[in-house]
Amino acid sequence: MSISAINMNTIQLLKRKIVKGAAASLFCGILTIVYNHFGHGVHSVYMDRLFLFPLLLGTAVYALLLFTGIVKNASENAFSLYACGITTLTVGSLLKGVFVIAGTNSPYLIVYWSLGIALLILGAALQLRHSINLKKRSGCQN
Amino acid sequence: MSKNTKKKRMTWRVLYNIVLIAFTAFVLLKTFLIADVQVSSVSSAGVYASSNSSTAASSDSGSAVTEVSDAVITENSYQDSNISITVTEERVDNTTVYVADVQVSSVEYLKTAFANNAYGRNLKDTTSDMASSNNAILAINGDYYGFRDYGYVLRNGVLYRSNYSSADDDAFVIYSDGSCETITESQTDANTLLSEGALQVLSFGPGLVENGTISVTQNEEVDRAKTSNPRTAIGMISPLHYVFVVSDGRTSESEGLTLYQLATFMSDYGCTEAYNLDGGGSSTIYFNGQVINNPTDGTKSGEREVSDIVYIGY
Repeated sequence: MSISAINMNTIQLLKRKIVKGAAASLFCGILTIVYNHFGHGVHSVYMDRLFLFPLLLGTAVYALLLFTGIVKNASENAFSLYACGITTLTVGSLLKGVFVIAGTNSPYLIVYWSLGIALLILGAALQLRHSINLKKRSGCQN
Repeated sequence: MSKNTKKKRMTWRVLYNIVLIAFTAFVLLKTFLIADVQVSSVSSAGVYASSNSSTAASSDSGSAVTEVSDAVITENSYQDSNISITVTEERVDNTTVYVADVQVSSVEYLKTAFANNAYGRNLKDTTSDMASSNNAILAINGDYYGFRDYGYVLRNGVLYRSNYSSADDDAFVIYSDGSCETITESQTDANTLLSEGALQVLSFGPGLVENGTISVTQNEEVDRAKTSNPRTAIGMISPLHYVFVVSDGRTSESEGLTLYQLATFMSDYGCTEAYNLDGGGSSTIYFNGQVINNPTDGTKSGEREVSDIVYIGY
């Protein structure tokens, strides 16, 4: 499968998502550096690795989809749900980092982890259903 | 794709982001600001409430320090028939360290107090206010229990919290015979400590000196902070003979101590048991009616409000 087999709208969507993911990752990296500068030497792995959420779950995944051509017709709703999942996990990790550095905790953090993962799975499932439906439809037309 | 569909998607994404921001604001407020009183009107006397009437002290509500008929008070010492305190200022590793050497005739003169005389989350007051309202002679900040939802809280013989966060969390126990030890919370139940005569349990850590040996390594720090910071520690030389230590830090005049430097200082001072309490901007020592160190969080000077204090008084 190649990039040429992908719908033009999907290519544009994935390229947009790759850039957004990279920008978010850069923003998280800068935020971590600034926060750690005022942290009096106290660090948290959740803060230090914050940039990995948009980079790995976002940019890397979208680039993989673009170059392998697995998704030919993207469902924008599915991708929006998936992006909400990344945002939720990133915010959760940011809060966890802030709390660890401050020396506290919160029982509400579980909401970010569970909701974030649920949105990622829901987004992927929705895209899968969208692809299957399109395949069925094109099969019927043939 | 229709404009209507795109608009709908934009709407739910915006709505989701608004909900996420609102929820995050709630979590931050709940964690850092919103006070949650779980036990109101806590008596700072605790189990000592009934025995206080028999002490030689007579409280003067207008004075920060309880007046005792035979008390001899100087700028850096306090002495009466039950309590002897000597405060010294030392320079250690480019750091100003305040040391209060305390000897008491009974452990009942070593007490703890909560901010606003209540137990709960985010209940805060300055060390000096709490010390003043409890007529403390000497006080240091405690473990800031109210900033966390875990860690044993046993104060003046009353157990308030008996959970812990991780298997290796240390706690410092002061028993009714005046002895102290550092325990691992996962290995010793809080109720067992209470039945064994524990009067105070402080949960921050780590333990600095245990059985006369330094128990932190040069690389071990609170949440990986290997830097010099203001610190607060409590130690025991022998039962009823304690050391309260506060170091200034994060300033050009006073660098601050690492945990290992603090542990070395406590050990060199003769402590057989010593424990690290909440440090940084919280580190405050109060003696004879005034704060004697220079509390700072590194950006602004002045006392930080904390949940609790450890103090010497009637």
